[in-house]
This record gives sequence, structure tokens and C-alpha cells, in this order.
Amino acid sequence: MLLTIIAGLMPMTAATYEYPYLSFLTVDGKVQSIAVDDLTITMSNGVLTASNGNATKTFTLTKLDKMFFSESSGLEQLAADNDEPVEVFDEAGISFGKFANVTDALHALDTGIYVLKSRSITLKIAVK
Amino acid sequence: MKKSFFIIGALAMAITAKAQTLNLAVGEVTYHFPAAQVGDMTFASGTSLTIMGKEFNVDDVTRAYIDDSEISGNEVNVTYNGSSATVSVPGNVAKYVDITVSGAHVSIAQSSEVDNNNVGEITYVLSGDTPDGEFYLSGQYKSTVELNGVTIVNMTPVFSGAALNVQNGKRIDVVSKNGTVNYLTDCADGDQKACLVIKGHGEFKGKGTLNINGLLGHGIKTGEYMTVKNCTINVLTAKGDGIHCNEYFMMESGSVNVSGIDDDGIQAEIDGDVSTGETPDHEDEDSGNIYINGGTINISVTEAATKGIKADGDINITGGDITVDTSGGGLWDYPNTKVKAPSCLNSDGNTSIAGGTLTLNSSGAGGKGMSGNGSLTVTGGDINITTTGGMTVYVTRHIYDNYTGNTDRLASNYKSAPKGMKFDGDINISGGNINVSSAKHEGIESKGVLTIEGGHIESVCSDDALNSGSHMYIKGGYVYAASSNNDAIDSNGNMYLSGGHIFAGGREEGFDANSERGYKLYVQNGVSFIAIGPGMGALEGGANISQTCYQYSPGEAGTTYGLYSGSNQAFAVTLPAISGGGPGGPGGGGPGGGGPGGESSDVKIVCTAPSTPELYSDVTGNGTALWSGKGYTSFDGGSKVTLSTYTNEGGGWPW
Repeated sequence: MLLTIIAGLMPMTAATYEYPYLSFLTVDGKVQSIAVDDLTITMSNGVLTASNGNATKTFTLTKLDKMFFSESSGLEQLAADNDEPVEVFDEAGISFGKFANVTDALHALDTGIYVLKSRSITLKIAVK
Repeated sequence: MKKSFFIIGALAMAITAKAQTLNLAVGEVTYHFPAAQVGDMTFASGTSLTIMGKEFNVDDVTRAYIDDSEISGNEVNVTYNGSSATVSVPGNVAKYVDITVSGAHVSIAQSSEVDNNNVGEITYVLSGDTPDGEFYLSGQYKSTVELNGVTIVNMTPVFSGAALNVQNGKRIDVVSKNGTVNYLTDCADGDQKACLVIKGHGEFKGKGTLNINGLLGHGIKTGEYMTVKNCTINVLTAKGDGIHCNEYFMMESGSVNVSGIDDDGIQAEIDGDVSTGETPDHEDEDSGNIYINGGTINISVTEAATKGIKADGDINITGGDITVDTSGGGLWDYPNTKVKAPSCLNSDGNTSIAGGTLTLNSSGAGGKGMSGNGSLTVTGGDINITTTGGMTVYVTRHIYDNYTGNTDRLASNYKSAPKGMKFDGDINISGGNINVSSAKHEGIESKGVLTIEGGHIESVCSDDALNSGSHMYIKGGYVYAASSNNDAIDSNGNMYLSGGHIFAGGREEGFDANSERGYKLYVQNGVSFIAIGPGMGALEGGANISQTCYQYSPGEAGTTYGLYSGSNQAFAVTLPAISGGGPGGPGGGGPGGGGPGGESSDVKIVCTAPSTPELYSDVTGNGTALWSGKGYTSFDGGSKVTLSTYTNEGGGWPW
């Protein structure tokens, strides 16, 4: 089972970008992502520099294939660290039931779009 | 089966995913790409970056950043700031526009690929101020230019000398945004045809104001039709016309004010070689017509031979409030070997007026109120015309304005008279209110047939108040015709009076029907009139009188006479003061000393009505006022005068 959840319990007032990350694919097939909050990009002397104040990534322009906006930080697996009970809803707000924790809920869900709500976090996820 | 899960988003109590935009600046141009639309942004060879089909040289990118701005697609914003300008381009049109910025001079080439199968119509919004800039747009698909409180003065042309130049042969909306005031001034040097140039059709809209200064040519020029709706257009100066368009001009509403110009106020030309005439829904029309259906027009033209509103084709007016003043005199048109003179309205085709209010004043020599090569049809509206200039003639290779010599033997193309209305074609009046005052010439003239079937007409002139080159028919309406130096109503063919309520008072004759050339005056059943002609009589000699006429003297100027038709009141009229005196005899060659006649204080009144008429003097008018208060539809009081049967004798001077 591949479980991909954004690490940490995001506060109720976290930034809610539709695409939180800008990802860069280099010609060797690797992807690196950087959060888009306060992100600026410069291209000079053959180098692309992306910086958001918290992190900086640099790429040689000749090594870049493409960049794209992404919903997650790519293939980086995020650890789930949440034992709180969670209730699952569909997009229409109909409850699928309550589970002991996020892990149990995810195991029980079929393919679809869901909203998981615990005391400290609310997530919208896609199960494929 | 392994499942995979993707976090779509961490949701706060209120689920609000913010828009994200990648902003890419290339010099003064910033492109805004919504994150949800960009997809893959590809690099090539480390030198280029392509986003939504737009290829950028990475070395040209001066700044790139991401924010949460919301971008409206299809709207390019140009902001002028003194000697510079910035351009903001939404990502969805980025690949369709090629932008060049030089200081505050902005040129945008819209791709020929733009059509309704891809991005569709693009709006270019102009704002800010520049003392030396311009906006130049080219393309092949319809576009909108929105003026959002912009001031552009073009001092040193870069792309053209115009302030706004749209080289796009399609429909261009020029929108003055509601509540804004916009100023455009072109360069005094250059090759531009106007301050605001549109190659295609210009549709002017929006409830804002557009002020134009044309320092080299016209104020506004469109290569195809031009329409005005809602907006206010002020042409403050122009070296050419205020507004010059091809195909046709149409005004639905709004306000057009033209002054300070060197040529015509509004001119519509035929673009091709042959007029299409008016077409259904004006589809593919190339007529040179002018249509005014509403709004307010104020035009002042001052140069010689200029026209307030000029049409290669027809002029059709159904509404609106139109005021035109001309003050220039005549000039000699050497190539065409003719004298040209000003006119408030002038059409090479026909003119029709069905509504609206027209106030037309010509004060220069030869200046007319309305003129045309074709016909005039009036079915409604209020028309007030005043001409005060004199004759303009071309003799001994000079133009003479306000000429007072004898022009009888001067060919028509060597002179121009300040007539109220002058049409080469027929004139047909069946409604409306017409008031013409011509201080030094005729009031209403048709070189063809003049027909009056209704309406209220008042013509007070020094020469003939009404004149027809051919026959004249008065079948209805209320007509007041007074001439201080000639005939009140004069036809060069037969004159048929078969209806209507008429006052005709002319220094020579009331009704003159060219008996000299064998034509006749026909007084037929149905007409009511009161006529005087101190010089040569109220009625042309040799008249064919089917409805008995009566006479009374002495008629007194200033006295109001009421006419009964049987037991019904026809109308009342106050007799004007008209001195007597006829023309010089044959061979005299010039104005004669005047034949027998006298003041209208002792002239003979001739009257008739469908039923046995009675005439009362010193009546008091009531009911509806006619002819600026000179008459009334009904009256009371007064004293009945004794009428005797009128006998019509003789004819005109034999030739």
C-alpha cells in the first residue's frame, strides 16, 4: 500500500494553494519540488534558481526538461503520525463512518475522493 | 491490490483553494500564467522556456514569481506612466500577441491565428497618462480597446503618429469605460490620417468620455463604418474633419461634440466605387449614408465651404438632438469649376427626417441650413433653420462673400445663395415642424417638385419663402410663408392648392405660378388660405380657380384675421408688415423701381375656404399656436368684415 499523506498535522489556518509545489524534472528523470509560497525564480548565466525564503533549489538550465505545478511534493513519502479518530465523508458531505485513525480509514476506502476529518486536521484525498 | 492515495489539499474550516499565478516579466511586459492552466512548462537547450505555447528566451526574462493574483483571461492591460508603459498579458493569450514597448509607445501585433476556435476576442485596456506615447494594434480578428481613464499624447512617433492606431480591418469596439474621461492627442508631424485611426469598423461604446485632439488630420477616422452608442465623444481640435468614416455613420445614443476643426464635422464617404445603398441590417453596406437615431450632436464648423454633417450618400434622421453652426463663407472649387459654400447638413443623396430636433444656423456667406443633390422627405421632427449670410460669388477670379450686386445673369456654378433648405431633387413634407428664417435669400427650395401634405411650416425670408423649380402641390398642413422682397410661394411650374391652411404674404405676390412661361396657379376645393401681395397681387394672374376666392381691403399689418370655413374655424393669422413694390419691367436688367403697390396696411387680402368663408378682423387667437405665435388654430372675438368676390385677372409679365 502506498500511502501518501502530507506530513504533519497542518494547522487550521494553513495556506491552501491548489498547487502547493512547483516541481522540476531534470533530463535524468529526477524530480525536485519546492513550495510555491513566496517563490521567486531567476534565470541567469545558464542557471535557474528557485527560492522561497525557506529553501532554495538551483538547476543548470541545460539539464532542465520541464517544470510544473504539483499537488504534493512529488515522490517524497510523508510519514503518517496521527492516531486520532477520524470521520470520513464523501464530496457531498455524506459520512462513511468513523475510524480509529487515518490509517484504518484509508485501508477501508475504495477508489474515490474523500474528506477525512479529525480533531486537528481536515484532509481531502484521492484514493486510486 | 495496492492502493495509492494523494492528498488533494489540507482543508481549513472553510475550504478555500487560492488561485496561483506564475508571473513572468520580460522587460516592461509581464505574462501571467494561472497554475491550473499551464501544465508542463518546457525548457529547450537551456535557452528557451515555453509556457502555454509562448516561447521565451530565458535571457530575456527579467523576473519570475508566483503569487495568488487572479487573472482575467483575454484581457491585456497597458498602463502608461509618464515616459514608460507596462503591459500585463494573461497566459491564455500570451502566444497570440507580440508586444514591443519603447518608452511609452506600445505596439501589439495580434496573431492572425486568433479566431473563435481558440482564444476569441481579446480586450486591450488602456490606462494611465503619458506625455509622449501611443498605442498601436494590428491584427485580423475583431478586438476591443477599452479606455480606462487614459491620457495619451504622441509627441514623437515610433509606430505611427496617431495616439491610438488600430490596423485591423475587422470590427473594433472602442469602449470608454463608464465614468472615465480619456484624452488622445496625436503628433503634429507624421503621416497619420487622424488622432484615432481604425482600419476596420469602429463601434464606439461605453458611458465614458473620449476627448480628441487631431493636430495633423482628422480627429477620428475609420476605414469602414462607425457607430456611436452611449459614449461621449468630444473632438476639440482637428486639422481635417472631426469624424471621418467610410461606408456609413450611425449614431444610436450618446453625445458627439465637434468644434475647433478645419474641415467638416462628420463626414461619411463611400469606400468603393459604387454605392450599395442601404442594405438589410446594414450588412456589407457601403453607402456613404449617415443615420442619426438618437443622442445629442453639437457641431461648429468655421472654415469656408465646410459642412456640419456631410454624406456621400443619404442622411436619415429619426431622433436625436442636433445643433449645427456654420460661419465660413464660400470658396472656388477650381477642379470642379464651381463655388462651394457651407451647409449645416449636406447629402449627395437623399435626406429624410422622421424625428428629432434640428437647430441649424449658418451665418457665413452662401451658408445653407440643409442642402442636397437628391430629395428631401420630412415626416416628423422639429427643424429650425436660420441663415444670415449673403451671397457668395466668383467673378474676375475672386471669391466675393456677401456680394450685393446683381447675380441674375451669373451662371449657377459661379454663385451660392444662403438658402434655408435647397435640394436639387423633390421635397416632400408630410409631418413635422419646420421653421426657416433666411435673412438674405430663399427659405425652402426644391429644384424639382415641392409637395406639402402635412406638418407645420413657417418660412420667413427676404426672397421666396417657398420655391419649386417644377410644380408645387400643397395638399395639407399649416403653412406660413412670408417674403419681404419677393414672392411668398413661387413655383416655376404649375401650383396646385388643394388642401391645408396657408398664409402667403409676399412683397410681390402671395402665390406666383410662372404664368410667364404658360404655367398656372390652380386653386382647388379643399384649401384654406389668406394671401397678400402688395406688389403684384395675392394670386398669380390667369389662375384656374375652382374654389371661389374672396377679397377684402384694406388689410392692416399687425391685425389678426380669423378665417371661417362655413361654421368651422380654419385658422387665424396676424398680418405681417410687408412693403409693396414690384420688379422692374422687361429689359430693365436689374432691380426696378417697383411697380404699383403699397404697404400691407392697405393691401388687398384674398382668402378662400372649402365652405363659404367669413373673415373676421381683430380676433384673439386661442387653441394651438401656429408659426411661432403668428397664428392660431382657433380664435374668438373680432368683427366680421365684408368680403367681395375676388376676380383674378391677367397673367405674368409676357416674355
